[in-house]
Amino acid sequence: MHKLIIKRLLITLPMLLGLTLIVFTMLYFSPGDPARIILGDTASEEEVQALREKMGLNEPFLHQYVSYLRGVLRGDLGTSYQTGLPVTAEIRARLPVTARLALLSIGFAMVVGIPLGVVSAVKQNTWIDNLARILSLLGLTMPSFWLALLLVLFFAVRLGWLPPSGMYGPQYYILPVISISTVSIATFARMTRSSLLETVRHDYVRTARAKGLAEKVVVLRHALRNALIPITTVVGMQLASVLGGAVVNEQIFAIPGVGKMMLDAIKARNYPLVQGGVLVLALFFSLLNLGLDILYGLLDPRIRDEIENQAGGY
Amino acid sequence: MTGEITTTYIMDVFKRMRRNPLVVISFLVFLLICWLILLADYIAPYPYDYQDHTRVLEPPSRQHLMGTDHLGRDIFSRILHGGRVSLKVGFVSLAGGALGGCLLGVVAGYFGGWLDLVIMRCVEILMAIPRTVLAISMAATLGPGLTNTMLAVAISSVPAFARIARASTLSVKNQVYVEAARALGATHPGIIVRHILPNIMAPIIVQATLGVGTAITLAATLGFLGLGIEPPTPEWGAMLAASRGFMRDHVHMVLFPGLAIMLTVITLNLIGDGLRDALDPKLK
Amino acid sequence: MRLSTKRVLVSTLVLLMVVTSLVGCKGGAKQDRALTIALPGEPQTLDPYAHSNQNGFICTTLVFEPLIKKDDNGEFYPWLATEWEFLDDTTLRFKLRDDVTFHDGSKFTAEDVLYSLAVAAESSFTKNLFGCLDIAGSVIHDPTTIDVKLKYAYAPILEALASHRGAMISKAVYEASSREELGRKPIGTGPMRFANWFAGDRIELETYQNYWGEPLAFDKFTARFIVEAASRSIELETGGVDIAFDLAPADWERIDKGANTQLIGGKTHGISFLCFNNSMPLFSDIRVRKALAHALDLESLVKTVWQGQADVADSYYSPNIFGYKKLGPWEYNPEKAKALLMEAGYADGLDITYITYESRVNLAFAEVIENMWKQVGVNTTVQVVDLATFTTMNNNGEIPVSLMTNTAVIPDPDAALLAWPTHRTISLRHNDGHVDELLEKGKMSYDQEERSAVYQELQDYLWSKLYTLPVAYPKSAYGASSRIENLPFYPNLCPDLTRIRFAE
Repeated sequence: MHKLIIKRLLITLPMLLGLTLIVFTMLYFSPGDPARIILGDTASEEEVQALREKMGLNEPFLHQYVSYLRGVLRGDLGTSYQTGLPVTAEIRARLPVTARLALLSIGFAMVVGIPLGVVSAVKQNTWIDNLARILSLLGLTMPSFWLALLLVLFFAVRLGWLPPSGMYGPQYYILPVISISTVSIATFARMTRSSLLETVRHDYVRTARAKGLAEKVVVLRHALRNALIPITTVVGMQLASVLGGAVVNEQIFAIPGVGKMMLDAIKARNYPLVQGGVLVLALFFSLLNLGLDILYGLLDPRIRDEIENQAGGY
Repeated sequence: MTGEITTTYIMDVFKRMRRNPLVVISFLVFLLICWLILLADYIAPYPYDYQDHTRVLEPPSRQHLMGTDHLGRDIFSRILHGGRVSLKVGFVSLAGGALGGCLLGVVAGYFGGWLDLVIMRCVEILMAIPRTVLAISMAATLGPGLTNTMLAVAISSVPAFARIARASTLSVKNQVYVEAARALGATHPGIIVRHILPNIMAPIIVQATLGVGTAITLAATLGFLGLGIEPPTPEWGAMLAASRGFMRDHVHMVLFPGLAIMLTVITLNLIGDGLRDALDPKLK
Repeated sequence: MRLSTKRVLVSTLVLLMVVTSLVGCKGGAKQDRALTIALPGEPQTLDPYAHSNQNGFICTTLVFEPLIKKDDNGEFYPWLATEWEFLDDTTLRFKLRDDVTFHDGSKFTAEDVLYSLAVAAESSFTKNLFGCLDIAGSVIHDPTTIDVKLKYAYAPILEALASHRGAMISKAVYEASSREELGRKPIGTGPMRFANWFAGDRIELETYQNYWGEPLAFDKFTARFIVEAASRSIELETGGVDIAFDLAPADWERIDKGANTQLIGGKTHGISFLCFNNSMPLFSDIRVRKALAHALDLESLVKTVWQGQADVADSYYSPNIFGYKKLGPWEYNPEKAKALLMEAGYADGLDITYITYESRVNLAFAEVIENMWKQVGVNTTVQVVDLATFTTMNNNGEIPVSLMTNTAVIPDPDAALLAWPTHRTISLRHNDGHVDELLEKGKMSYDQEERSAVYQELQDYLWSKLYTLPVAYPKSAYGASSRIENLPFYPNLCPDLTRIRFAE
């Protein structure tokens, strides 16, 4: 177990280092002059040059990266070009919103998706199953941002039940969470269904059934436990989907999270904020995955093997 | 999921797919979509950029099947032409991503050692960034435009292919026929092309079919966020972005482009599912 | 693990019910004495001398105050200054109120006035309005009397001082803090003081208890940042905000007719023009500029792009600013356009790159002119960059041709013609010294008649040169809930929110 944790940590750390390089390089080469952006239209060329000098934008690439990295190691992600605030402060104000949104969405997706898959499998090939499968297919293929627009149009504008934007209370989470989690609900439902049906075919279930246990109990006691293993391994993947969904939906619902911050910063060529945003989302994602892996390892040695197999090999 | 691709194998796969009516229907619908889109120049009632300023924001009618937009352009015609962009982005970027990913994965898996270590670490770094976020930041770096959108989507699909290709390569590289080829003095590229690649195609084809749908959605998302393709080229995501300001009173503007994306992606998904079942009968 | 399908179903249903029960308690805490507004973007800073962004100024009109204000009839009236007079053409004497304090408790004196004006004269954002001030030559007589010196006679000086750009800041606070801090926690003399700034979401202000003047109708102010115009109007209609700024024309009618909403709109002090880059060989040929202008059906274009909420421009600044002279609009004549292109040597067509940044109007405009130019054989490639890149390119002279909008901060031709001095670095680059001469002549006189004549001559001259093609005088509107009273339309788009009263 300790070996697993240490191994995963050892993979995570250099990965983050590489991440800083990629993120820094990406934005270093993007167009737009930050100094001009800060000073606006009316400033003269000299003023802009002076600011470039002051901001260290005239230094060579490697020099800029090293000083960026040094900052990152100290927990300093630079300052926002627009507000002059430390990037860490900007992110600290917004990360909880994004984290809550993502975790609520993944939780909601599991709570809805897995039972849906169970029902679908138990009632295989009935109209319930077909309906559930059609819904999953729709959920899987509907662009999240389009769904968000339709949800706002219907629930906020037509019915007036839910607020259309902002984040000032529990009811503000409902529409974004639905919109973000739809893809994951569909994925969980499909995974649960197919993996349940797969395990049902296994011998031990047949044995249990032969012993005369009621059908439902068979499915749930034996099959579901085993079927959950492959399901849990996709939680990590769904976290990526949910985080990506959060970024897009924050923009649509005007939710002050890291995603909206990043998109706004992209428009303003506010490099440090974009860098910080990508970095923090990746870090958040990696740590959650790490936590999940360790948790599974504690819960069930079979999953631990699965993870070892995935991560190992070199 | 591996097995040498031979003519009989392919015939088998087709036979199995034909038995699934849903897949057949999806395939036909997809062909219809492709046909409509490829012949858009002849089928579309109007050029995609034809503007009639006296007929803006009209609801669907006989002249305009899906209504007109805020500049008086026929939405149906724009969706057909927009499909060209979406399919192009979907297929080209996916092909690019698959090619790059497979190359990395096969090289990593086949040669192993430090090459494997370096390549897979890089792939893992990319995987640490959620895909949408990766595509967004790539698009932001590269700037808008068709090529850049394709590039951003392609790069963000590299890691998945690299991992699949590597895992499959690992499982076939010690097979008897590979050993034999090596013993007979075949070169590494020769072995990769003649023995490894044909044997790892199945999972990659499945991933690719399902991936086209994702790529189309991702490209539309970039277009919607204003990081995609420039006007006046019609693009489904950008059409939806433009519709936001009018969706209150003109629902047709937001409805049809979204439906177009969904229909295309659904058919691709069903085909992908069918293909997977057909390639791997065990999983059925 | 004793789950049953039924139990799973039941628990899912319970969860859904909990979720829907939350729906009942509708949010958007709407207290009677709280004012909530929706802005189209987040200000970068609230330091009035460190930006030129309307979103910031709409908030800071409650925090900072000018020396004088201007009423709806165009008359100046005392505010922080009780009296003012011109001792001569370049000396302006102010008597100040004695009972004004900053939000940190310190007293407002003539020192602060001089300091504020010094900052204003230096700042790259306000230099065009206050560059005329001679700070070294100005004299403080006592804490409530100051003689402000001008380097030269500058006609719009009172307008500038009465605008939101003439904000009075505290010398002590400014000298003790960094600009960044000040931008995040502004300290002024106004009726509201800074409370909170939730990055990416909202700014909150609260009542300043020791305010010298009448208290406001509201004691809590929240400015939310909602980028999407459709979302702003939805928030207004669903009661989430009291005022929504910069409404999309598509929403005007509904807001106007809404039972609980009102539309406050009108003509702005702005002009949208097609800016040719005159330093590029292609556009330095007046025949090309004329051809491109003749190819545009401005009537139809303006109606479509601004959705009927703009007038076709017929001169170089808005008719609601003095000295305006009607000259156009430019004639729509595709035949003439083709002939001119042929004459200029582009008989076989012409390729143009049109660069713009993302906004509702910009995208629609690009798509329409691409279409119209195509009719005369001009092939346009549209490039959409982000605002930041556009600003950089614009200042590097890299924008070949693009739609630009200039909204005058004060109703004076000098501010309305901000784009024109040759020292400006934007991509216009006409490099015509005669324009500079006329601009100088226009601003250095107090005689309105004389100024009018100069500016009319300038408009004639610009019209003949066609360095830019005037396109539209856009209208603008904000929507308000029906309880908002006494909020007129401000053509500079920066209303004085202190005037707001609530309906009973």
